[in-house]
Amino acid sequence: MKEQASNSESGAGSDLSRRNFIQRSAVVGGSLAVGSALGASGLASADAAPAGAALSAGEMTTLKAILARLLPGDDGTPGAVEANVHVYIDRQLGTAAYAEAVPLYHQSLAALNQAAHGSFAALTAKQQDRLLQRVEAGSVHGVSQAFFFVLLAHMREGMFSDPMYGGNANFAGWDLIGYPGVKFVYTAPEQAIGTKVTPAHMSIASVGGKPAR
Amino acid sequence: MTTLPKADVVLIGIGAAGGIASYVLTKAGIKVVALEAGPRLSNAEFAKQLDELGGYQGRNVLGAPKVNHEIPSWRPHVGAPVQHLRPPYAILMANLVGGTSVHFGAQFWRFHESDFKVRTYTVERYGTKALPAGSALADWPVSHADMEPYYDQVEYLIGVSGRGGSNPFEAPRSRDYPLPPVRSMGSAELATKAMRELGYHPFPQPAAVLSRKFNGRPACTFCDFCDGFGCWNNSKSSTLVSAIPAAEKTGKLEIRPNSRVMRILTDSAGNASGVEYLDSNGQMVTQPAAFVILSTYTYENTRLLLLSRSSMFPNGLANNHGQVGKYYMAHYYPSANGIFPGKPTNMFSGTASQGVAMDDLNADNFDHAGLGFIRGAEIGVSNETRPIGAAANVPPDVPMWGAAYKQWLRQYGNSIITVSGQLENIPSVHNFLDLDPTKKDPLGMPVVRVTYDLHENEMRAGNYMLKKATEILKAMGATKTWHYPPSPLAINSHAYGGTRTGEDPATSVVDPYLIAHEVRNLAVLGASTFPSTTGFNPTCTVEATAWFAAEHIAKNFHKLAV
Ligand SMILES: Cc1cc2nc3c(=O)[nH]c(=O)nc-3n(C[C@H](O)[C@H](O)[C@H](O)COP(=O)(O)OP(=O)(O)OC[C@H]3O[C@@H](n4cnc5c(N)ncnc54)[C@H](O)[C@@H]3O)c2cc1C
Repeated sequence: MKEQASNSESGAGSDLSRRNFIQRSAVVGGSLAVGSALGASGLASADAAPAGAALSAGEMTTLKAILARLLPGDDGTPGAVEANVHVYIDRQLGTAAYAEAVPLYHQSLAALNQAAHGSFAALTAKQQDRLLQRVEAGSVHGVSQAFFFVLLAHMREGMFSDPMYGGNANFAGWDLIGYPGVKFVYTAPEQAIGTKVTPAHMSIASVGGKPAR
Repeated sequence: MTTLPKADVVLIGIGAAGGIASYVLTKAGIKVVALEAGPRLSNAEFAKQLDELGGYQGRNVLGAPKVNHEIPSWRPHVGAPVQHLRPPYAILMANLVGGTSVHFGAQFWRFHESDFKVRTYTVERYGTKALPAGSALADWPVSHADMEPYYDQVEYLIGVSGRGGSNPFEAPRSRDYPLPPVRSMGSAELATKAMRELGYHPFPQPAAVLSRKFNGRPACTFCDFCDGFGCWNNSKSSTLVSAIPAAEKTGKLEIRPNSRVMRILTDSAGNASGVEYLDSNGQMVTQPAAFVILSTYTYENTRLLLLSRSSMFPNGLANNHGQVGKYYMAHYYPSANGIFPGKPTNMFSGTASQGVAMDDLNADNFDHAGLGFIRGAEIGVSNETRPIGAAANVPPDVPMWGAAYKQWLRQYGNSIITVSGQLENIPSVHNFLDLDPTKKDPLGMPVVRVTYDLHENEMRAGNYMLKKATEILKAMGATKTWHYPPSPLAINSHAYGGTRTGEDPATSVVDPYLIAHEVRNLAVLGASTFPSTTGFNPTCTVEATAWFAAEHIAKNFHKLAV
């Protein structure tokens, strides 16, 4: 198939434009950010994680406040928090596959709060956006661009993956992007340009699928 | 350590190439023991795996038995720091009976006549000065005419859909495809029209997916989970549902799943004498054999040879000429995206092999004079996108987060069409595989280290193809287009080289019949033997060359076996 992805993450990715490209080019190729910068140590031994395994209540507050800016829910449709993306991230961080990212979350969330003079969640939305823009530009001490890109990748995973992983609650992510959900058959009219396909709102869990480790 | 009774042929890995070889050998009456690192799964299991995160987007569940733990490391050139890529990492191979043919995208191409004589054609038309610096461009030792009967037999054994003659650049074929093309879809129709307007010759993509019922298997239902997934409907023509069951019917194929070969053994005369493998209970077992076939995909083909050292082969098996690992190649996939506002393009549907392709800018099908590069790319349009991937595919001037990002996704998330190609990669003396000196897999075996970069020919050709893809999108009515510059995709699902085929042991590892120059009872199958990549996907030719080699081995078994 005509896959598009880039290999380079850790070494060659130190300059911004390249990183930007890498992050954006993870189009068909996959979760490069966690994949190559920080990824898994041992996939096979990964255990299904208990909920709330990785982050403290305080860290969850900060994470939710960030996610509420990354994909806001204040326009009348669910955003990342309403879709439980924080639940997805916390659950994944509790698995061996994401274990290496956990210290990065601990350290970055703490540093972000510090940059917010104590509490990121307590800032106004405008202030939060400005601070996140500085993080994205790599100019906040202790919160690397690498962390930001990992967070964006995790946000996309949580928002747009099958709800059985804990995010995409009520298919909010799939409705947002116009993905009908798991469907075993597409008819010719459903593949025409201009047809609005009725959402199937189906998770693979409904036919026995289980989260991959 | 247990030593088992001697086998006629031991097949290491039963994927695309091994599956075909098992069929040809057993049909000829030869007994085959296939050792496969992964399990045997069925469509009932695949039916529970329609999950982007588990399959394509990075977890690669079908690679959990092995490849996810041995991802090659990469450096762009000698002396550059090595990058250790870690799982989850998308587009890796699958470990199970049927191999990667189980989760491949099923785009199924025969190569051109000029592909097999790529150096000769290039030099005759443009002179030796057109050969890129550092190029190791070589003709294949076989021609298209040699391969045509095997292409034909593969297509009719497994079930391939397409329309012979619809591509004016296609080499002569002895008969049409066994099945008509798979259904077209909206984006492909739009692209077909635009390509025609621009003077190109579009045609339905050939697909190893059933357009109609074939050998008891049903037609494809276009579910959007093909590329990177096993087929729940048995419509994808993997070797798991075609060649392998047919081989088993002969009663001469024994498949041992969950059996990972660690080393190929040699005797004091330098012949292959069998293999050592970890069986499904984790016990090390010796399986002696009269003939050994290595068909474990490009990276493992080189790795197992390099790991199988002996006094006769101190630098790795079949490597006394230092050729194992040389001329590694991989595709770069130039692709451009366009927005079609207000219209769902229904890109979240279908299969990767459904769609339209054009061959006008591939191979030597166009005049390269003044362009500054040789060879080209097949270009086409397919759907089969999924939401996690799509959410990352936004134009460079759109933010990747915030209200504007969300608004963009809502407005255009399902209104995109991508025109993409696969660019021929010129073999280079600078691109090669060896063993990583530091990184090991969980069993303590060194992983492959890839030394690979795109060079000037690929950069120029890649940028040219991006320009052409953008023109097509504009002619289709895209209101906005975007793309990213060419970059090397070192670890690739289209990986080639390392055990090149050729007449000369000084510049190749295997002979024209894919038998090792240095070991008469060892064959190596797969794209690792290809002298060039072409601008097409590899697997049709992987299977045709495996058939060709297996037939030769069967015919000459008593001369070759030890
Ligand atoms: C996501 C994806 C999409 C693709 N799409 C296309 C496409 O559309 N068209 C196309 O032409 N090609 C496509 N390809 C490429 C195609 O899958 C390969 O060309 C083809 O499968 C190669 O065949 P092979 O027999 O060499 O290797 P495989 O099919 O990978 O088979 C190798 C087998 O060897 C086994 N093995 C490995 N090591 C050992 C060991 N030490 N001991 C025992 N067994 C071992 C593996 O488990 C595997 O089963 C795609 C590949 C990927 C990953």
